[in-house]
Amino acid sequence: MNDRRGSITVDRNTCVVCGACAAACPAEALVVEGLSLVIVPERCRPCGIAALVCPTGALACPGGK
Amino acid sequence: MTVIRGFDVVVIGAGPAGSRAAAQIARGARRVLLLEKRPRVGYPVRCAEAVGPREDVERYLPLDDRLVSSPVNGFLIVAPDGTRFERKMPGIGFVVDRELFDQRLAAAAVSAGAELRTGHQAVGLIREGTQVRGVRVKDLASGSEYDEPAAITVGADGVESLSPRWAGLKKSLRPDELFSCAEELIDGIELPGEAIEFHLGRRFAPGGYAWVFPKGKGKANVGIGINPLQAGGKTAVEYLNAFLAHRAPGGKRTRLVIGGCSVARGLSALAANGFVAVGEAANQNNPFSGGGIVNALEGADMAASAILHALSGGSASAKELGAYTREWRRTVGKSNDAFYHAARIFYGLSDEEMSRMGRKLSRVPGLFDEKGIRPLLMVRALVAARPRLLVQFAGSWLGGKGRR
Repeated sequence: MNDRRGSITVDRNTCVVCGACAAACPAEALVVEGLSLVIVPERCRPCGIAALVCPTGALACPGGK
Repeated sequence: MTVIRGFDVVVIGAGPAGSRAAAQIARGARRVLLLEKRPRVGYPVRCAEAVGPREDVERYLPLDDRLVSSPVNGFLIVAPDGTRFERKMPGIGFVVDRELFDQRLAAAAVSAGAELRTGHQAVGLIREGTQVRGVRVKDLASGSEYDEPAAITVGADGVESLSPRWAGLKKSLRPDELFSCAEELIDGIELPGEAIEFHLGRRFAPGGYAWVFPKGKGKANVGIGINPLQAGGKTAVEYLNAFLAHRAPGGKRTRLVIGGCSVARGLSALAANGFVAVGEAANQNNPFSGGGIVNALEGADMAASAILHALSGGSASAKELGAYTREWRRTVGKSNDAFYHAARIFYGLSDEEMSRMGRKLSRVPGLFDEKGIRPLLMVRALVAARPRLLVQFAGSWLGGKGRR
């Protein structure tokens, strides 16, 4: 069940919208829209995968790792 | 201004795969819409820009000096213990100006009759039962959404693609199915000729490799790609900084390129009813190196020819479009499978094993042909160098089978 400990958060100063997190997110909770990263908190499980693959360390995940 | 008219094919993504597919389908006298979510095709670059022999690319696009940043006439591999393997191989490849390259390919699609819409993003597929009937599109400037029906939809939306997932062809990438990458275009780096360099080992690139690709005029793309599961909690950017301090001290950083790069196994099916996936969206890039430009162009041509055939026969079923999957798996997909298994072994080696193996590999006759490393010979050599690998190798086939 979706234990809502909060969803993933992004540091907009560090994120370069490369899309690695979108490729790895199993829940489509992170989507690259144009040149922006859109987070859909209600879809986030949160599992930690996006934060793990992020090349810049821009993502923080309360449930992951 | 909106003109109401239907397209035969909608292509999602104006990278090499999408633009080439759009061009070929338009040349077959079909109406094609090419969607690109970014405002400008090719920008920002998400690519290390090394490509194979010029003639492989010139089958698709004429090259000129603006597109070719530097020729590549050999390679240097530095093993974890510092042992260097160098080989001169004139004409083995070149380093491309990827932004311009993508723009030229998109322009070729438009010249062939395709309509290009930048700033328009696919946000879903239109379905009738199991049949994909086109794309739900968002105009990012206005925020409004509209339907764009089509007989066939092409998903060429790259590593972060969702359309092959919507069509049921693909799942999200596992963390070990992508390289987490960071690169700087460095101005002022010492380069020993026009060679591409690969640096192996856990210090600079755990589970992947570090690279130096010459860009001409004393510049080079210097980067790293790592397996996030082997990175010990450090980010790609942190590994890049360490590699830059080692390889390019004092060089000026002029362009940061960040991205995920799929090194996943090829998809078992590239087509669904009314839908095909192509390029990195379809895991068509090389799972050993991550390189994918020529593969994308080849995949696009195969997809386009199956699509034109399907349209002329009046059926856009997965069965009809499956000719594309079979063609791919018989050719590039087959060597990609060998690369995939080689990669699973190679990137799992310890530094010591990798250094030892490097020394053995350097003595395998015929390992390199004019296009680079030969995957099956590499697997054979890896196994010969350490017999226990036979067991792991068998395991990697068995473990990988049927997973995707």
